[in-house]
Amino acid sequence: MHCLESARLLSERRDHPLPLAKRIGLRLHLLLCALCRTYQKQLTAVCSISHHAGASPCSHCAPLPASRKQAIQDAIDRG
Amino acid sequence: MAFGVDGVIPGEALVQNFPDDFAGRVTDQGAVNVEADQVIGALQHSSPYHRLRAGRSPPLKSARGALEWGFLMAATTDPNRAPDASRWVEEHGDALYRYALLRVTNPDLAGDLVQDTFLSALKGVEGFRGGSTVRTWLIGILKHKIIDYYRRSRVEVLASDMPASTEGDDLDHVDRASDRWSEAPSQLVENQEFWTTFTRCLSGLPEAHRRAFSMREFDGLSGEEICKVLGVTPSNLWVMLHRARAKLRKCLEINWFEAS
Repeated sequence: MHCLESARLLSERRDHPLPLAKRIGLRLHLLLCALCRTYQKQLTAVCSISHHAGASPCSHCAPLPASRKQAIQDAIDRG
Repeated sequence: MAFGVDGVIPGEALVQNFPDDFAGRVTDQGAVNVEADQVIGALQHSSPYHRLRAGRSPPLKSARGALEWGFLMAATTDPNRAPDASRWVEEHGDALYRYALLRVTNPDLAGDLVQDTFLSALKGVEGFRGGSTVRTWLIGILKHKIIDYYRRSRVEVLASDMPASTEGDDLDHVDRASDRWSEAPSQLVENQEFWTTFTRCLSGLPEAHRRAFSMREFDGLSGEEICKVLGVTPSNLWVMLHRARAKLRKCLEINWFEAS
């Protein structure tokens, strides 16, 4: 197994179970390859950050523009 | 029939809430001269917003009874009452907009989706049972609006955004000695500068990849659900998600972790 295949499988195993042979091959590759172990750690971090971002109220992010708020409120008032 | 200013329903409130029906009918004493049928008609044929203010099922046996009950419903603190739509935009507009903007990245589109959400909520307000907060209920509606948008526009997006074979750079900028990625994700997303970098990297993904990534990582949808929305095979989806994760990782490494 080469590193590019390892990178692909590290992503794919988050979405579906890998066949046994692929799982064993990936585990062996990770034992031997420090680069892919680092990539694995960073990929996990990307997904964890994204999970938190999806759930974050993001209070520092841009609010709904005032003009848009007024337009929506007007639409609500009109029913 | 006249509702006096010292009653439960002052004339001004009646005019304010049903201007088309009662404007110009306030007397010098602050009362409103109306027939019972007019009050009942106003409640039955008013806009959803006004029906909301009148409560879910006003007892229409008498005009006064209907209005008293309705206005009390609008003012009560009972958690099971229909939510007061007059404060939705003020209380939830920003949160809904931020939720949508992260998922569609286009400010105008995010605003449109928020507006659609509020209007749909208004029409379906009688379905709100108080089992969740109003915010959670509105977010649930918005989530479906976003997925509907993805589904409606999927053909034009996917025609140009099928997975590209650019795998050669997956492992670029992987610094084996770096421990910068160990910072807690919960702290990172609270950092405004990081958030700006993150959303910029997200915007750089191909549209179809970003949609797949958003549904999978932000909302936790299953692969099967995402395939139905995007109209792709599981194999295609896995490649799209791989490409999105790899590109996002590389972008964050270059623009945040290496740069900071």
